[in-house]
Order: sequence, then structure tokens, then C-alpha cells
Amino acid sequence: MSISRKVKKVLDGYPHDISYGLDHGIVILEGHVDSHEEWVDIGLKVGEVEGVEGVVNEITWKGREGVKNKRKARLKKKFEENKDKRSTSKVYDVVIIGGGIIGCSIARELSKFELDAALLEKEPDVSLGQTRANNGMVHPGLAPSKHSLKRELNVKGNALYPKLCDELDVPFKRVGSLILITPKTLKKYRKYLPGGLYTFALKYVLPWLVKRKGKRNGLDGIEVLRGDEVLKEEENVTEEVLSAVKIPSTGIVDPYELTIALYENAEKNGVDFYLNTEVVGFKKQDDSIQRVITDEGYLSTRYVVNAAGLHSDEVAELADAREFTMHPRKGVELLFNKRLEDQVDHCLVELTIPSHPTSKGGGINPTVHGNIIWGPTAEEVKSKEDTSVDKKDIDKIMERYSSILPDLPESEFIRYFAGVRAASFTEDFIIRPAKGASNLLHVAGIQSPGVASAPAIAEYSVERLHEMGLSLVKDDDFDGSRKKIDRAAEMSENELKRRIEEDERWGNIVCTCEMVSEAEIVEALERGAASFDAVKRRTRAGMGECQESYCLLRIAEIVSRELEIPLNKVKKEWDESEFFDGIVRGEGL
Amino acid sequence: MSDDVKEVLCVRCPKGCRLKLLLGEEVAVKGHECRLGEEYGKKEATDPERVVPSTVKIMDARWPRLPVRSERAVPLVKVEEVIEELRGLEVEAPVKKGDVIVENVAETSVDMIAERDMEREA
Amino acid sequence: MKDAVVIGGGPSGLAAASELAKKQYEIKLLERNDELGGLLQQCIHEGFGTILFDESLSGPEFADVFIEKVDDAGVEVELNTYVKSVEKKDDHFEILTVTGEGVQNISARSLVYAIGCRERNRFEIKIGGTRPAGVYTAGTVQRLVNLYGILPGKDPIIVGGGDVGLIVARHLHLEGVDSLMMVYPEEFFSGLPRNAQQCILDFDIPYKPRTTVKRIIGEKKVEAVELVEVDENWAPIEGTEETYGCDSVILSVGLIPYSEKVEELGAVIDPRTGGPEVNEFFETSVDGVFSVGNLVQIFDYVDDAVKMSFVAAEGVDDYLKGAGRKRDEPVRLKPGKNVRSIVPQRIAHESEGKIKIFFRPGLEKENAKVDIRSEGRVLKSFKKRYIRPSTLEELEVSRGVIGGKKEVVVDVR
Repeated sequence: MSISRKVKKVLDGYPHDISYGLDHGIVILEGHVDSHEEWVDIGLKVGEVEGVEGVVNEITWKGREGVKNKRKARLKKKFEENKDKRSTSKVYDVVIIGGGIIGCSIARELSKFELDAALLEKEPDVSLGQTRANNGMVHPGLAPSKHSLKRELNVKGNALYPKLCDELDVPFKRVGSLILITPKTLKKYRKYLPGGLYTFALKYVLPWLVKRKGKRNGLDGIEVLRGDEVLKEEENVTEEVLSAVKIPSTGIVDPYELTIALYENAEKNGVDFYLNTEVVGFKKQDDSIQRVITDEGYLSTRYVVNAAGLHSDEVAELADAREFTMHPRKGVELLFNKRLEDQVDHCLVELTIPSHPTSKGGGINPTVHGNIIWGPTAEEVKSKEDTSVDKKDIDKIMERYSSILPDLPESEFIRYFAGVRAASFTEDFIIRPAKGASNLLHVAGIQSPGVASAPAIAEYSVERLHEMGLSLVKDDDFDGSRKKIDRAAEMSENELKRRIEEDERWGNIVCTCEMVSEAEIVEALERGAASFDAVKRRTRAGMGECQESYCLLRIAEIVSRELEIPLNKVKKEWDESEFFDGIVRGEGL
Repeated sequence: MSDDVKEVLCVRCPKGCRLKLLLGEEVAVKGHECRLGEEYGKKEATDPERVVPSTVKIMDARWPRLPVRSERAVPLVKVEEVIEELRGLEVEAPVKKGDVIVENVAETSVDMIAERDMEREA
Repeated sequence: MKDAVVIGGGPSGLAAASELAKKQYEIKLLERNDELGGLLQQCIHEGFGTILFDESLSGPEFADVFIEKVDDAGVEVELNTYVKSVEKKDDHFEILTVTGEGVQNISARSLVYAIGCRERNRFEIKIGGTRPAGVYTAGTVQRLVNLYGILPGKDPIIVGGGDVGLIVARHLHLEGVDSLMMVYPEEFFSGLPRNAQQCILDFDIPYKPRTTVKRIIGEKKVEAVELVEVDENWAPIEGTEETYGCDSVILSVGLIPYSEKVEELGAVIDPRTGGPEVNEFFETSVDGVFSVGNLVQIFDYVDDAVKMSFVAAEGVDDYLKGAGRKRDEPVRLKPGKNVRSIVPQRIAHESEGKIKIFFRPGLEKENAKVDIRSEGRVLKSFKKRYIRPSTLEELEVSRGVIGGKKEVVVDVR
């Protein structure tokens, strides 16, 4: 059966008029359905069809069209304003769009070569998209199917982590993961497995199957643990656990800390970063992009990398290279108090077959900072900006995970947050030259395990650029090392003493939950943090138990002093998010 | 007439009785449950008074604001006027606790005083 | 070697330190901020001191009384001091501090923790929605307005009808916000009637009882909140949601003792108060470690907290002298019917003298009867004119009444 017929067959299953086009493996869907759920469902089903390389889902549902038109009109206006305004006389070899972990990884990879590269980020800092809300798990590469690009890059990326984090002075721990098999694992199939057969399957058959899949995916050192062996590895786990598969290569990292490090190091090696700079269009000649037009003027370039995450479909469309549509999938996470640090040693996942509908991939992870993190959930949402968290989400996570760690006090969570994954309908990573623009490389659909794969995605992307004609000459001046901001909390008594002698600000502890000194906050600001949250991400000030209720004003006062702006003009993150508004009785400060 | 009725919470004990004050030549208090409530209600009906806390701008001090208050209670109706009179006021450190910041504020014959010392700082 | 190190320079720490120094002990007081007085420095309204001095003082004025006492008594004060760790040795404690001058080891024969509490934040009460700029705790706003002269926004909403929320409402109203709204889950303001009247009702500030914030709306800055009505158990009533436009959300939703540090030292924490368990002299379950003020329980009146610091100072005195014979087995004090929490949690000493017991009622009641009982027998009864959960109650009992008992329960009926 041809691809076209297979797609038709899928669409026949829905009671709607939907038209479709097929061009070089890209399916373009148009029509109207009743609900967002149907929109997602149809997209995914078409994406599953063998041979389909991308799904552009232009089907509308109530309320969708208006939003898109508004956005287009705004971009069009910005485009007209800026298309002839040159923002630099440089002609770049490569312009990367998007400053998440992917864009920044590619930027650093490119900085190893003699070429001019720039990175454009529409937000005021790097890592503000899905990177910020990731749980920091460096997956081993077990979940993706054997022949996917995901598997290849995940396994490879995971292996690159120790060296990368060592060079960038970013904490990385190979904690290993335990895939837990409990009586709940096969609950749905219980009736087919009478009596002792059920336990036998859970204790012997299933772990063996998981191990075999791991081996086929190229993972080493997998062990099967049974009964007490599991509790020996992870003593607080539920006693109901029957067996577990231990994968030693799983690691943890702080995704935004790593992204900031990549950014700092790439910048040091000559990549130009344009923050607060949004791409509003392209100028093409034939099928080749000549200029990237931004809301700050245009940049001339030879190659463009689309690493715009959730917005990569919009960027593709601006370049007439529509090949996929992102369907935003929200993940909510719950962060627990550091005082529970000893309670969890490994990344923990409870295996359920079929996978849990709203939390596939979620689990319980330690973080490199000593917190424990639960989640994420997986919920298809209508808006790419929907990072809201409701009480029902929190309750859902509690319900899902508290049975794995029955003794963990639920009241000890200190924060919840959400990110939106950049999921494409074909689900695999999309890293390939655009069909509609010969010098544009799509690096899109990078959702889980994107963090684990990032170092390999960077190498892979640069190889693709090379194939597209980019010449790569090693830059002998490349210096891959970067130092993190030192932390008073991690210093020995003598080390801290010595620092305070040099600079008394090391002795002024501003955030008492995380023991962050004034010196660290000042250094973060000197390294380019321009907002309160940017300082937080770089120093951890305000990230402890009290969640800023003690230190907010103390940190803001330092930001105000160092950036020479009045206290009431200190921003939380964006220009539009100034903290305070107004002065007592309208007086001057 | 409803204009002649005023409702206040009694503040003399944690119970906080809701008092109805019938205003007139002779004030009547309703809703109280003890002697204290009646006493309080009568005072509130005829002559409610409040101590006013606020801050004024201070130069060359640790903090940009100096806390001040009325030395005694002023008539409730005068509270917003008192605050208004503080608008734009600036003092210079050092200041001592009890220093008079505004004399006879809003013609209440009550002074606004500093609540604390504030040293002069560079 | 210091006789005692007091950690925390708020009113309770100041009172304990000065009282001990007056007894000729060598005392060091450590404070993390650059001035003494703690939260009182931002509480610029009056109403403090009515119990102790029969005079209504402002926060800074009340603090000043004790700052002077600390000065006069010769307490060594260290400001801007962060306590990194405390270790228990055989007969003393080792404290490691960090300041602008360096890292310092201090030895002390005893410790008084007076580190107070922190404010509950939006995460702890699971307010949903987005996480934009414009969400603050009431204490932060009080500090912002009274020390810096800055307003949190033009149209704030205050969540919680307790005293801090009420006081902040008055400041915001008088100091120039355009509009203001207060919501709280109780049927009526939980703060003192005095504050309800003089902060909200005096100025006709709008308020909604039995209401809370369900979600915060706004991507970068607060744009609105979704309010929802709640029932008597504070459970949201579906279908009553409404959107209220505002530019900031101010949370006055409870205080939590900073008990982590004493817990690390081994002190048993009472889940009901959130603070360490103490005996009648405010000694924790770790010998020689005392704790006072809002760390032990949230006091409604600073006067009460300070009075208890005096009692704790007596206990430290006894401890340092090796006086004050302890019982083999302490008498356990337990909250009974309609009592949420009780302090002290145990009576440890044999000595004479009366004991102050604080309890937080579990219900609102007029002419309530409070019984102290043991093994089914009522030992003593009290009549209380009016009690409610938001007001801490106090009982005074002679030791004779409960001496010799294993467990004593306090009931309200």
C-alpha cells in the first residue's frame, strides 16, 4: 500500500472532511474537527504511518485559527520594519535559532571550528523554554525503539556527558536508574496470568525482556534485581516491589546550569549571542536563505539551524519549509525539600504496561543539588505557553508516585512547575536539511530524551551542516574549559576563610536556605544575568525551602545596586515582569 | 434613620462583638455583651480616634524610609489628612527615636514622631 | 567559652540574651541581618507592649526597649552572621559562623534558638496557575512598603484575613494603591477584632469571606486571579469561580517555625506546632538547647513571647548552675478534645512555682470550659470568656496540680 493510501485509511476512521497532501514524505492535513483531542489524535495516527517523515497539521478546531492569524500579523509587521535594517556588518557562516540546550550545544560545537556563528534567542536569557522545566535525567537510551534516531543519539549523548560536564565544570552524576516492577506493572493483564504465573512473569519474564531490549539498544552493564536485592539498592522503595532492572549509565544534570555553561563557553570561543531577539522572517534567493530577519534587524548568513524548540514549526513556516507541526505536551514536576536528599539514590521508574496515559516517562529522580523531583506528567495542551499548574496536577503526581516511596512525606514538596515539550507528530527527532530551503537545517521535535541526547545532537547536526557544504576547519584556539561560579556552600572552612579575606562579600550570606553569598550573586550579574530569575538560575539563591520569602528583597537590593537600576525596576525575568509598581504616596525614591 | 446607625467591631476582647451604635443626643449601644463593649461603643460613636503609623523619606540612612507615628491618637476622620500631610516630606539622618517630624499634624494638636533612631550613613 | 549563645536577634532572642547577661553570664547574640529587632523593625504600627508595659508601642519602639537592655547588660552582639553549623560535643556546643570578617568557631555551654518563623508561600497552599512576577508574602510587602517605600502594585489582592494581612491592607490603602481587595477562607477575619476594625472596616476596604485564590493568571506579570468560594472546611465549591483583575497577590496564609536547624541537632519536632518540643523552661529534647519565640509556636502577642523568654532564661540559669532537679520521667502534656496544640509539651522539673501552658483551641466558643485532666480525673478547670482557633490561650497552673502524673491532657468543652 502506498503512503497516500495508508494516510487515507487513517483519515477514513474519523467522521470529518479532512484533505491531505503528500510531498516528499511530508503530509499536510487540512480540515476542521470538533476538538483539540481529535486534532492531536489524527496527527499522531498519521505520523505513525510508515514512510511519513513529517506531519503538518493545519486542521483547525474551535479557537485555533484566530490565535495563529494574530501571530502572523504581528510577525509580518515586524518583518516589514526590519527587513532592510542591518544589525551587523558580519556575514555569518551559521545562524542558530533558539537558545535552549540544543541550540547552545550546537553553538558550542560550532565554536570548535574556524567559522562565524551567531545564536538568536527571543527570550532575555538562554534555557527559558522547555530546557528550564526539565527534570534533569540523562536517560540511558532504553525507551526509544532500536532503529530510531532518538536511540542512536541518546546512547551516544549519554556517553559524552562525563567529559562535557568536566570541561564545563557542571555537576553530573551517574546515579543509575532502577526500573521497578511491582504488582501494578501488569495489572491490566492480571486476568490472563492466573495464580503464580503473574508473580513469575513479574519476577522473571518481564525483567528479562527489559534487559534484552536494553542490550539490543546498545546498553551495557544491565542487571536484574529481585526482591530484597532491590531494597538493598534503594531502601525506601515500596516493599511490594518484585524485581527491578538496574541500568548503570543513567545520569542526572541540571539542564539550565548546563545550558548556561554551554552559552558562556560558546561565547568565549567567539559565537555571537543575540538575546531578546526574535526571528520574524527570512529573505531567500531561490531556495536558499540569504538573511535572517529579526525584530532587531537582519543578519546575513550562509547556513541556518532551526533549533527553536516548540516554535520550530513557526520558524520552518517563515522559511517556507513547513515539514512538521509541534503539538505542545505539558509536563508538570514537583520538587521536594533537600532535607530528603538521602531518601533516593537512583532514578526510579515504575514500569506499567501499557504505559501510564498521563505520565509516560515520568518517575522519581534525585537532582544534582540534593532535591528529589517527581514527574513529569504528559498532557496535550492547546497553547505552547501553557505552563500553568493546577492543584489537580499536583494531586495526580502525588497519587501516581507516592506508592513507590511510601514513606516520603508528601508535605515536603517546596515547588511545582511545568514545561511544554516540543513534540512532533512523528515523535522521533527531526534532524535533516529542510526540503524547502537548501541551507536550513531542522533540529526539531527534540523532546525527551533531548537533554541526554544534546551533546550527540550537536555533533550530528554539525556533521549534517558539513554535508550541506559547510567547511569545517578545527580552530586551534578553541578553549573548551569553563569555570562555574564558586559556591560558598560547597567550600571548606579554610577555603571560605581565604575567600572572605580577599573579598568580604563571600561572608555575607544572602540566601540562608541555600547558603548563597553576595559574592556569588554579584558574579552572576557580572556574567550577564539581567534579572532576578537569571541570578537564581546561576546561583540557586531563592531556590530553597522558603522559596524567596526571606531573601527576595535582599537579592533584589543587590541586583538594583549592581545594575544601577532603582529597586522598583528590578525584573523577575522579562521587561514586562518588573517586580514592584509604585512608590509610597507617589513620592520619589 | 439609617444614617444614624453605625456598625463597629468591639475591640476590647477577641470575641469582637458587632456593635450597633444608634447615634443621637444620647448614644445607644446595641449588640454588646459586656460592660466593656458598651463603654467602647460610646467612645466610637462620639469620638473615634486612631494612632496613625506611616513612613517618611529619609536621606543618608540605612533605609530609605523612616517610620513615624502620631504621638497620640487623632480623630479617625483626620487619618487620611494626616497621611496627606506627610506627602513629599524628607528628613535627613541622623534621627532619634521620639524626634518630632511634624508638629501639630493636620491641626490635630498631635505631633508626628520618629519611631526609631536612624544613624547617618554615607 | 560562652555560657550561652543566643541565635536570632528578634524580640525573643533579645529578651533571653539580656535576661541572661543580667545574671552575669557571658552571652553572645548572633543575628543574620544588619540590625537587631527582627520582624518588629518592619511592624511600624502600634499595639505592642500593652501586656508588658501597659503602653502601646510601635514595633521599632518595642524592639528598642530590648535592644537597649541587651546593650546595657553587656551582651556581645554579632550582626550579619550566618550560622553554618552547630555541633554537640560532650559538655558544650561548637558553632561555626560565617561573616564578612571570616569564618569563626564559637564554643558555648548552652544554646538558645530564637530564629523565629518564615511565611508560608503559594506552593505550600497549592495555588494553581502561572508563576509570574507579582506574587509576594505579606511580610515581604510590609518590608517593601515600610523600609523601602515601594508598593507591590497598583491593584493588589490580599489572601488571608489574619493580623499580618490586615495590617498590610491598611498600609497599602493609606500609602496609595488604587484599589485593594481582601479574601479569606474563614467566615470572618481571623485576625484580632481590633485589626479587622481599624485596618479594613475603618476604611471600607472590600473583602470576601469564605473565598480563596484558586489560580493565578498572567504569563509575565500577574493580570488576574481566579477566586473560588470555599465551604466551612475550606474546600473549593465548584462552579463559584470568578476572575478578579489585579496586578499583585499578597499572601498572608500562615507562618512556619524555622525548625530545621534544631531538628538537625536532634531535637524532637512537634508536628502540631511545627516547632521543637519543649519543657516548661523551653528546653528542647536536647539537653542545653533551648528555644524561644515563634520558633516554638506562633505567638499572637510579642509580649507573651518575650515573657516566655524570661522563663527560658531561668531554665538556662538552672542548666548552667546544674541546679533544678529533673524528674526521672517528665509529665507529658497532650492536647485533648478541641485543642490543636499545646506548649510546653512536657514538664521536666521538680521545682516549685507555677507553670504557664499555652494552647490553641480547635473551635470558636463562648464561655468555654477548659479542663486539665489525667487518667479520666479532672485536676483543674478554667472558664474562658471567648476562645477561637486564631487566638492562643494561656493557663497558669501550680506544679502541685499535675505533679506525679505521667500524662496530662487539656480539653475544651
